[in-house]
Amino acid sequence: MITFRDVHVTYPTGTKGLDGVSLEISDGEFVVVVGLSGAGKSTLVRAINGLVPVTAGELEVNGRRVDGASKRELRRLRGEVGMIFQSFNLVTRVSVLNNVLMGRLARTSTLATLVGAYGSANKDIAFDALERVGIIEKAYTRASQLSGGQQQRVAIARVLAQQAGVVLADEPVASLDPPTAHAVMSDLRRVQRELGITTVVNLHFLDLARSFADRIIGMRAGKVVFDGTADQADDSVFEDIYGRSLRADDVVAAPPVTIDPEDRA
Amino acid sequence: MTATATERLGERTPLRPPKPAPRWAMWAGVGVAAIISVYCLWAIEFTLRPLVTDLTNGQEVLRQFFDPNWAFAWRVRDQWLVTVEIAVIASLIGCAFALVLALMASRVTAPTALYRVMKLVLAVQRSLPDLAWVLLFVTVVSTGPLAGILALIMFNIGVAAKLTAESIDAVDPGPVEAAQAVGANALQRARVAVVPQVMPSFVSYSFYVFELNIRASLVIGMGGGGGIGEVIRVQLASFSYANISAVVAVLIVVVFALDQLSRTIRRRLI
Repeated sequence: MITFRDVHVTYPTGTKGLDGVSLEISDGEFVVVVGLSGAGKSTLVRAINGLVPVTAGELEVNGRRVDGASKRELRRLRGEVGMIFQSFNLVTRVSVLNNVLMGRLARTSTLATLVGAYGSANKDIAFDALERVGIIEKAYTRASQLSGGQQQRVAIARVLAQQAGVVLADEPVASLDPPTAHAVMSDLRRVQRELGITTVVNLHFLDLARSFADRIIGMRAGKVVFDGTADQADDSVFEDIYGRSLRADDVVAAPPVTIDPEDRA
Repeated sequence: MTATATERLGERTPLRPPKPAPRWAMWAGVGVAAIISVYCLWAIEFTLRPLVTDLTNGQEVLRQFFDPNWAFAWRVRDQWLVTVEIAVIASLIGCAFALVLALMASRVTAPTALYRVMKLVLAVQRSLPDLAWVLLFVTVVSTGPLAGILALIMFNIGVAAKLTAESIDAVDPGPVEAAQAVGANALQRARVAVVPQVMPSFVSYSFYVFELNIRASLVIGMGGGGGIGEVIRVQLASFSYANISAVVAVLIVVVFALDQLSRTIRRRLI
């Protein structure tokens, strides 16, 4: 359960990231946050694990207060909250397995980390996570040799290795081509259902938002301007959120089944 | 086609911005530099005359120099080995320290107060040249390879820590953020997300430092730090120019060869 009570985030530059957001996200929900860039989507997601500090209001994640938490408390919280990034954020020079093992850092001693001794229990968890996203055979491959879609699956496995109850994803498919974007979103949605993970995803493609979300939250200028089910979010709702008429680049594309490589030439 | 292109260019000419006037500050700078140079020449009474008038003085020395005693260069083979050994040990130890210090001297891996202090400490430490370190350690541990090793370690820390810290400043922040987001502490972030990223540069700097150490062996030995430089110092004291020229010639070859070897390895790393 994630609870926002009148949360404000003001950046040191004076920019308002969040402007009085109140929300409740229940356990196991798959929430998609939409809005134009600069609307506060990223701030909303990053406030949940404390990467962006809350300047006013209360924010609670699974009973833990995020605002005002000490460094130590924040680290403990982050151990239970996974995060997926637009640019994957893998350490590309090391193996896929080592990247997934990063998910175990909050439960690994500093000394063990420094010498690289994660232990067999952690390795088992990492291999399970890789199996779940279907790239276990790449475990000993350097992350740099993987395609974008595979790299994002490694990032999902890293989150699974955390055995996190909450997963945050900040534009997870914005760097991927349309068919891969669909495939990665499907994977994320599948493991989310299998494990009942509360998930908050930022997306700017409205078709992806509609087809994957349980619930859609629309943001504009740091405020929540829409909160409803995917069915309720029709085109007029999106036009309202975006504050303009819809354009071709607001959708990612047709799902992969309808794309024939022969036709694209 | 060409006509229209010219025409179009012609039309565009009035749109060109006016060329900015040369900055007076630049000309003032050139003037000041010229005045300082002339003053310096005058102050040390600079003249090239001795080069012509005293040319014959060095004749005997030059004659010996161009008749190198190659056998001598081989007779001191143990000292050549000492030079390489000093360089290897000093590079290994110096760079190991440098990596730790570099992690403390970058904003990516260290708190603001620490990295500011460390950058300052490293800058001060670097301001002492290799010869100064040798002279310092010779007074502490007396002449010999140990003084040379300690001096080069200090010198290497200065060079490698600065370069590595700059590489750390420039790492991709994404993996570091990801490590932060999984709840890793600062040391874990450094080890898991930063060190793998700077490893190729760091190893490359270590080889570079080794090159510098071989090149510095002359200065190190002259200062009393052991190795082939020591041999040159002794020969210089006994005016054995034929021996010196042989050693210097071999030194040039050795430095060049090790330079090339190390450069080849470095190129494969990045």
